Amino acid sequence: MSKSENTSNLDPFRLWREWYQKSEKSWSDAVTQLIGDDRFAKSTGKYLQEALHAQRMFTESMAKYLAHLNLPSRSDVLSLSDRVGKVEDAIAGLQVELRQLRRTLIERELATGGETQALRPKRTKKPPQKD
Amino acid sequence: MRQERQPSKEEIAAQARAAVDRAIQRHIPGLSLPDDLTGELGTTPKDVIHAHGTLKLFHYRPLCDEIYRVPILLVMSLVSRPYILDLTKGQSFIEFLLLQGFDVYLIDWGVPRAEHRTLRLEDYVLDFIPDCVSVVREDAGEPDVSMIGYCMGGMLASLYAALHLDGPLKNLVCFTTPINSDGMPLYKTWTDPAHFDLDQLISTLGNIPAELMDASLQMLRPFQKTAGQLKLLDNAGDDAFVKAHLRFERWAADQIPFPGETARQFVNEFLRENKLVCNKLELAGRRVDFGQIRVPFLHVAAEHDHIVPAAASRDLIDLVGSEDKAEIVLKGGHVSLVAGGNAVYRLWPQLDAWLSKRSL
Repeated sequence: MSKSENTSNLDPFRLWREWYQKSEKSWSDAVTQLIGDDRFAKSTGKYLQEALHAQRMFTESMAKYLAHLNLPSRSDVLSLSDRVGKVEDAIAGLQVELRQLRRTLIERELATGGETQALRPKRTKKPPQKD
Repeated sequence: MRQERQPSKEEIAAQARAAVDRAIQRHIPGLSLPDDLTGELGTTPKDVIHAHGTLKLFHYRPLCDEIYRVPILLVMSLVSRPYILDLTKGQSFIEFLLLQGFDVYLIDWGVPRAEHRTLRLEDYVLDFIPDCVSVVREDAGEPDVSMIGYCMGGMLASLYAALHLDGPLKNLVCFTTPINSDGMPLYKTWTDPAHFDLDQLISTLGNIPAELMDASLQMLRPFQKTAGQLKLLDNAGDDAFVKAHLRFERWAADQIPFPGETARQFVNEFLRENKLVCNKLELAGRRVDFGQIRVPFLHVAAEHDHIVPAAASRDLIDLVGSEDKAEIVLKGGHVSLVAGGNAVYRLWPQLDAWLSKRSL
């Protein structure tokens, strides 16, 4: 018997883990039956509504408090993230421009009989024949 | 007699650090950081050939000397990262397509920011996708394009196909595409207008946060994540298993927000009113009729998909008007269909056989 088998046989939780993995689908199905119920949806909807209301109030008061302490709020961090995102998008735009420029230069060189290799593979592939 | 010197605290600390470093260098699973184990994901060489806001259109560099004439455009879901199609070498759908000789392009929608909360399905279907199709045609120098959509990307691709009947679409492939909300009873109940205030959610948050999207996906099968962790524990000595598992986990945890207005349309017009399956959805005043789609069509569904159950996607094959249409139903779940062992050995070869002879 290999060392790993020996080790796993000594593991008291192994049977429990195997049982859990095998019965996971049934447990999940049972719980989704419960949470697929209208009462659950109603209470979740209510909770979500209250959470949104609380978040709105808390965000406003917290932002004032953080500003008082000269600290950035979550919305400040998010706006910073947005600005970084915009910089990333602008870089992607530049990459596209550079690629197009490079392609134009290569095509021009090809047109004037330069030794640059063809840009792309040939589009002539056929599917393999079945015997 | 010479007395042995007791090591100092610093020396003991240095020895302990060296022992840990040695263990990590031996690649003992569990000691390395998850990111080190998974490595960088989505690394198949590619170039950005078009960018618009957060949207990026990638062209993957061909891996063959000779390729099929018709390029493929992959359309991703709006709410998940595209690197599930390109996890790592040997576990990458995109790498597989390139090795079979396809010319592959991909639309990455990016992460929507607050300013993108007003984007609607019309923007994606009538503006962004047609723009990308034009760029692909120009870049490839070919008049037509095949399209493969995954999950909500399949919905966008089929909407595009239905509204661009004279367009340059050559083939349409949809993976696990939600089309009938009656097949998604949990989502339907949770978003019932009687107790779910969608308008308040969107007006407060703008976009639907990734955390909320993730929580709702977890609720579809509440114990699956724990079962996965236990399976990981049981296979902690299997390096390949640990890496593959962590790659999936990393992707699954990397959700992106749902643009607010698109989410509103998705919930109101798809989940609540189920307009797609009865061809009643209208985008910019144009009715979407899948029966008008005539291009060769392949639909792929997973038997045990709990995110888009087969009951939610199976109607698409009947709705599409193409004469040349086929369906593949495989065992497995929503994600393993495109990136698991099931995908590598069963789906990808079947897709290649179907698409290669239609890409000439």
